[in-house]
Amino acid sequence: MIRIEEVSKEYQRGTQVVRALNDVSLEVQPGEFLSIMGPSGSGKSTLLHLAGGLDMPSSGEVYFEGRALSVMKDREISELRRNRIGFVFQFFNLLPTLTAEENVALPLLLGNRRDVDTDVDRVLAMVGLSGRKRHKPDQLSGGEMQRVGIARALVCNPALLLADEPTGNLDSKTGEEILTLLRETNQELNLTVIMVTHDPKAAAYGDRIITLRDGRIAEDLKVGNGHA
Amino acid sequence: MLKLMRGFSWPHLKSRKGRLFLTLMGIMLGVAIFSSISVVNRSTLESYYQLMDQMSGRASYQIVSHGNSGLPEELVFELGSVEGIEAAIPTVRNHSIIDGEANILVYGVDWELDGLVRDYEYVGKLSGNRDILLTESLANLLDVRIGDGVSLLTVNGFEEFYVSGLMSDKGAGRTNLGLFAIIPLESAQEVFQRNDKYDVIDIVLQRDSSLSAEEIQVMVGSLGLVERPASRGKDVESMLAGLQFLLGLAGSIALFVGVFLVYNNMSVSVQERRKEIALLRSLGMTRGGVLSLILSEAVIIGLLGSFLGFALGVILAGTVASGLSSTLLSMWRFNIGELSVNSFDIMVALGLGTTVAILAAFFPAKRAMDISPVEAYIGDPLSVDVETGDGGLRSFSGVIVFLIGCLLLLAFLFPEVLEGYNGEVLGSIGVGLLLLGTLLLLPKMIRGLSRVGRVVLRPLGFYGRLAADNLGRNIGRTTATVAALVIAVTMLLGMSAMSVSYQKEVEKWVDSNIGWDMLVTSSWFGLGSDVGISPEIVGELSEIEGVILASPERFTSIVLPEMDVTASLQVFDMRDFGQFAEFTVQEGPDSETLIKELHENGSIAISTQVAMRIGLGVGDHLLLPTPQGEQWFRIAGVVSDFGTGMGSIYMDRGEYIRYWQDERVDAVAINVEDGRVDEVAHMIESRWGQSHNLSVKTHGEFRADVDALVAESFLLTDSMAMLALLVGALGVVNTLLIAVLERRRELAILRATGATKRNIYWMVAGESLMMGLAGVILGIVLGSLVGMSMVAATFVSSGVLLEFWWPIEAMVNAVVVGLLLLPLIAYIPARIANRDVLSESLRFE
Repeated sequence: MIRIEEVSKEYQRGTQVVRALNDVSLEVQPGEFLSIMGPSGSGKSTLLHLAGGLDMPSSGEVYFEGRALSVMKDREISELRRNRIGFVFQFFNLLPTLTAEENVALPLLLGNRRDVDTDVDRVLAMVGLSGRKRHKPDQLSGGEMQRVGIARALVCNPALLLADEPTGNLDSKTGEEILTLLRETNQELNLTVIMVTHDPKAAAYGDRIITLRDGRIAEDLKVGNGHA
Repeated sequence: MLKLMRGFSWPHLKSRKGRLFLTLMGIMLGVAIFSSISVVNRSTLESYYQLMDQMSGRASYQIVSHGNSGLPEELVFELGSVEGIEAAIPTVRNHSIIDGEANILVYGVDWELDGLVRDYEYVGKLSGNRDILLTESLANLLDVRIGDGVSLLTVNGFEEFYVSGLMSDKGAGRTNLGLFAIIPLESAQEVFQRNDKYDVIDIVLQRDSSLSAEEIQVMVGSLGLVERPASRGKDVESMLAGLQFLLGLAGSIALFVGVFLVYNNMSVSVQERRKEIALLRSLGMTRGGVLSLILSEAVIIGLLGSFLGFALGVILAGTVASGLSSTLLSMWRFNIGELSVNSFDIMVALGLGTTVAILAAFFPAKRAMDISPVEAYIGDPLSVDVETGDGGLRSFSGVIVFLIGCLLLLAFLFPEVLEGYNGEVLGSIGVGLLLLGTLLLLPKMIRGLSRVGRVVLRPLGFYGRLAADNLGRNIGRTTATVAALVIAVTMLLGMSAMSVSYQKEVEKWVDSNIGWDMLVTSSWFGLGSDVGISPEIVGELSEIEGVILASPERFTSIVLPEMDVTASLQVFDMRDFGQFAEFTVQEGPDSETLIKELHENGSIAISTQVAMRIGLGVGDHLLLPTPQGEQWFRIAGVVSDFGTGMGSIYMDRGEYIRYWQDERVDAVAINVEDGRVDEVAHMIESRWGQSHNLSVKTHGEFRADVDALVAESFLLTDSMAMLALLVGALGVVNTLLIAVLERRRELAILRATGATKRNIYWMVAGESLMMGLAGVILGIVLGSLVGMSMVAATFVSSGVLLEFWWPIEAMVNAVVVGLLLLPLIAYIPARIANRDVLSESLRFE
């Protein structure tokens, strides 16, 4: 599904060059649920953004379904993000002027699709928010906002779902509900999921856990998943 | 505080160079325009008064003749013997051409007496009839020395004079910026056809004399007018006042946009640093400390912008001064020597820019003051910044104010509806209320604009919908942006309507009033010499083969007694005039009857400007000062006049000669047989061009000159209006830029969910287009109304009657800027939005 080969990523911070990732290689199989753990500044989110084509590596290559991202044009990567990859963010990142259903429909509308209602209703039902679809973000709870975020990520039937600390801004009970939803989606739709978290309990929802330290993979662990 | 600013404010300002530049531009332009007004104003007046001092020296008063017809020699002797007067010193003053190239001012002086009033540093003498004293700079320019011959243009053509001495360029030698020469008084009377008369008599009072101008006027009687040497300065001041008003308007608009740019910049800068400000508060900084910190940043921006604005203002003043030069030279015969800049100007500029910056930053600073220390420790999910509250009272007031403005404007534009009111005041208040009402209604309109945007921007798909929604998200900022654009377009259209209507009216006037085939003169629009044409040449012109008519014309000015009104006196042979031209009559009989009346009954016609200023009309009598004493003339008609700014009095030549005893000729209007214009023009120029500096302007050439002159006089105001429009457009770019910066995370979400860079551009361009559309449409409506009232106000205030013409070109310009340029330059903020690294924008900060 996704292959990361000898990827490094450097940032300029003032006069200093910060190396966020250092020669990382990784392969994720279709249908796999991968959790990425590590302390702050270890490069977790950077790895996730590179995997989703939000950013480009300083060296190395990222392959999605066998195609190198670095040779793709902006239009092609945008299409990829619109149709094949879904993102879930820690702070939900919903557009405040749109209703829940409009936020969910966003990837379809951006692709100028008109018949969006069926797909939107389907994913809203999947995340249990059919009754709240006309509400705007400021009328929803944190858990509901994250469900809308997940529905938005799923609406175009992606092959890969990338989640960046999806429970980081939720209480523990709501966090568990969201993780369960992600796990169920992974299994029911055979969806590949890569989730960044600093919480070992959340990471345990994955099939495999890698731990990053100082921009390198320090540990790569396959787990028998007790939450399934 | 300084340490804090170095660590907190400076890095932030430095890291946002583009935004800082836009903000500085706002302050700079406004301050620059105001500074240039101040510098030009003072420089012009100082140059004028300096010239007056140089020309008049120690004279307490000067006596000038009515209509420049000359003062009798006896007056000098009579005044010279009056107790309290030390000396009465006569001069003849004439602009001429020397050695065929330099336009100079020539004084004919009594060399024995003149030293009593003016200081000369010179070598040589002035004794012979054809002696001439040049300034050193003029001698250098002509490359001549004492003993050399020079040719001076006189009424008899170019005559040879001998350089008998040189004046240093000090004291009186600086007159006319050094382009100055002196010849003996009798010689000047002869060569400039003064017939034993003088142009000016300077009066030097005895040290303890208390003689007043009024007392001397009694002695002079109707022979001339007694005035202080620099009293004409008020005419220059009134000319400058008009320019000041227009520049002040442009400067105010630029400053208004500047206020809004600073407001926007400070708002977003506070927004960006909420966490840092919260941290400072949590570490013990007081609310007052936060307010001072943000206002101090505004002061720095204000000072920097003002300083740069002042420098730009001095450069702009140089441009304005050179633009004014032809007007100053033709109307007052002087030019701005050096720009006068003093420390007061700098203080005013710094004060103005800084005050504007502080005012603009106050509300953002107040918001910063209210940031809770707790914010330093909590997250910041995307906020909904849609403003609530419908501003019902504001909108209601807006409708009322707008309607009252409309009613007042209608009453002003259609005066027959109301009678006996002060039209000018009503019109101005009407326009003001109309603008105020629109501004009050604007927030409501912006909400509507957001809904209209959904329809207009439908071709952009969902991005159009997002663009339309964004318009309504920060009503205050969108309103300020659109308001700046509306005011700029209104100003552009108002001024252009005025300019176009004026140009069209002048064209019509030239077609009817200027009917000759060619005009022969040695002076055009007052530039060059004012040496007349001798009666012999007038006679010879009429005898040229192919010439049907050669009619002498005299143009001078006259000060109406006890009215403080100066008017142009235009003297034609009315029999001839009727054959090639007609008056554009506004009141009185038809043109043919009027011309007959002027010729046969000795009546006069006055222009609408003069009628307005003196409050007289057809059938009334006007008292004119003549060398024969004050005389009553019946006003037979009121006519349009675009030939002079001050307005004209028209009189038959026979009547003029009878009362003024002045037979000088300034120009000769000629009509020729069909198809012989070029041939006759060529003949006149080859015969008198070299020897008498006579030039010929055909009707077509004259019309082109007039068009160019009118265009030039509106060039400055048109440029200012266009500049204001561009500053307005700059405001839109700034708003978009800030909106993009504020919404970088939202844009990143769109990019993460599949929007391409091009999609983001179209979204920003859509937002820009809608703001442009609103600004242009409202601006065109208001600008047209303002234009109509300005055109109508021209008649009410100055008596110039204009017909309203739509300023099509300005409308096209506004549409191009609003609907094409704005969406195009949206590329800049869109590019900045697209340049953001997605992963960084999405990461929680």
